[in-house]
Amino acid sequence: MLFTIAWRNVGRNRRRSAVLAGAVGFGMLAFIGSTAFMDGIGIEFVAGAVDLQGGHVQVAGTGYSSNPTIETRIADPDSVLAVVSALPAASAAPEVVTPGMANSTEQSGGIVIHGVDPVREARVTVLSDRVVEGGWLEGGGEATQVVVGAGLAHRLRVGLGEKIVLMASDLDNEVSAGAYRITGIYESGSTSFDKINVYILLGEAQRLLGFDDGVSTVTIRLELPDESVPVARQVTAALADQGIEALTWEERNPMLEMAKKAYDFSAIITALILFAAVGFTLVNSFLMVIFERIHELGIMLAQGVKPAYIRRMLFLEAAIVSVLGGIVGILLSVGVLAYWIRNGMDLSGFAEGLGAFGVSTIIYPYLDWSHLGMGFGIIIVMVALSVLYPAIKASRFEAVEAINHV
Amino acid sequence: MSDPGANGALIRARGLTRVYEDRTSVPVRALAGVDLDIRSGEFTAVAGPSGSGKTTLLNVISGLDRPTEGSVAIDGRDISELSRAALADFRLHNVGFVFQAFNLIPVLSAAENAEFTLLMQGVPAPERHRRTREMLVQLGVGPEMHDRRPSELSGGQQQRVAVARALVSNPRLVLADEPTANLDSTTGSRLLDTMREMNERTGITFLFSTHDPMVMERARRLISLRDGAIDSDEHRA
Ligand SMILES: Nc1ncnc2c1ncn2[C@@H]1O[C@H](COP(=O)(O)OP(=O)(O)OP(=O)(O)O)[C@@H](O)[C@H]1O
Ligand SMILES: [Mg+2]
Repeated sequence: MLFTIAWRNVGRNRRRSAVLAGAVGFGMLAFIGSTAFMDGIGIEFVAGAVDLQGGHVQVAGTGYSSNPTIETRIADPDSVLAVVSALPAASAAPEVVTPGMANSTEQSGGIVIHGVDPVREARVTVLSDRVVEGGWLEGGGEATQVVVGAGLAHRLRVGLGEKIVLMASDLDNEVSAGAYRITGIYESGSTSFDKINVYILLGEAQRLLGFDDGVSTVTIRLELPDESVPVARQVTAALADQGIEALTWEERNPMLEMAKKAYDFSAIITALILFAAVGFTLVNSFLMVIFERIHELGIMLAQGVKPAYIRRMLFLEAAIVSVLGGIVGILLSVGVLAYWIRNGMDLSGFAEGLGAFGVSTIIYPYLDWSHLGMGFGIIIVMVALSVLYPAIKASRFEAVEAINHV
Repeated sequence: MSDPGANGALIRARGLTRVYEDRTSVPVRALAGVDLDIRSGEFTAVAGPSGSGKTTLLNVISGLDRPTEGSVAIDGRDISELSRAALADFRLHNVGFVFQAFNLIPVLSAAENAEFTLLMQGVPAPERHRRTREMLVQLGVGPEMHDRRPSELSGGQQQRVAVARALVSNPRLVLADEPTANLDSTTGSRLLDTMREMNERTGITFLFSTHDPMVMERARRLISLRDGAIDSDEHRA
């Protein structure tokens, strides 16, 4: 009966109930939208740190992560690959990395040169799939092939098939250079990444820097990303005596983790502010509700209805309105987000800051269903808080005065 | 229901005084030392001109209001000692109310309104429905009206539903403050006839206020108030 009364009371002033439900729905939309968006950015953060380079776990000489010089290297990459091949569901790719310069006939610029094994690299990073012109590096192809980002090609004003000169300091601190022909151009999704990263064959990079068989890093990609920590520990334990350590992507990017937390935090604050605004609307409406019904509340109190019953009734009314609003909000969210979830939202116009983290400027909002639960949790708390004052007020009415109030 | 108060007084009021103090105006002495005994099973009207203190008297007796001085005992139990919550509970189990108008919860049907007290008392649904429907029919509210909302009932029908609600839980006492004031004379008289019939059939004590002579006529005891004091008190056949 309590529910019946509450339900019918909600139907009494349909327009007001609809407006209230709309306010709650809008709050829900804002909450789900902002968390989905922040989760999307978070996923791009991870993708930037994992998919484009570095993988879930990166193996390198001890200290490489904080000070990546060419002197810190893995002298015997085969021993690392052997350790990884014993792990289940893991792929590994050796890589030589060095800062350098790229020169075309017209322009030059600072870059990072990656020497990779084309086949192995394709298993640990997504770059081979992101080639938009020409093709990915070919193991059996000419030694001087280079794959560059679209941003760099644009900057150097070069195109497919044209030559650029790559320069870097070798182990003896001598400038080493070579001419390379562009055989592929990629677009990773991150404009800043595309401007600085070029890919040549592993052997070619080793020759350029005088590395012999050594490499800078071995990138490990896992089918189960959650295994990153144990895998890193295991690899480190196996290779520590060779001066080698393995770090998870989170350990390599402490700033990323902080940035992600900051984004999450701001999303939650925004949502709370919104819900607080909705909450005050609820307080106001329910104060109106009880003053409109003061006479009938008086009749109920006179008959001996417990104040707690009246409080529960009002709470239930607010909860009904809010749950309806919440459902509307979820439907709205799914409707609004569906397009962007499929096609991504292009933030390149105002997302230079994201690019700095190696994050793609196209964000795909991510609907985490647990956030729907959290949204409903917040709604319930908000309803409880905002109905508290009107309900207490209503249950304190003196029956006589309330009845006389018509 | 057993009736221990049959020989003693069901209501025993002594020295009831109620002064309304308002910061903005002079204090009003609405009741000035009323002594009143009402026996179980009585059918009593409180009459008197407007402002004579009828409503105040009923409110103080039911525990809705507290006297400034004096005491009310119901079944020998002094209700002025009860806490607010205990008073509410006392009313729930012992007192049925009928007010002047707008007695009913607008969102509930006639039958739902009538069973509301039983619901609050925790009476199981099947028994609740049965007793309520029987009571409504006895009061002349036919089954075709049971599912109507108050706004779809006439004033007289609404008051009958309110009386049904007051009676269905078998209270010790039904208090009705001008139950007929919003009804035309004929309808009011018919409501009173029904109330008296119920009083005779169930022995439930009725105390109601009125200034309608047609209603006074039907009372078996008529108490007249003037300026907050009892002016006359006559028993009739
Ligand atoms: N809440 C109040 N505050 C101040 N004075 C009040 C209040 N309620 C009643 N009074 C005064 O107390 C006196 C008695 O009022 P009461 O309502 O008991 O009269 P009544 O006999 O029921 O009148 P009526 O026939 O008009 O209903 C009146 O003078 C009235 O103005
Ligand atoms: Mg009155």
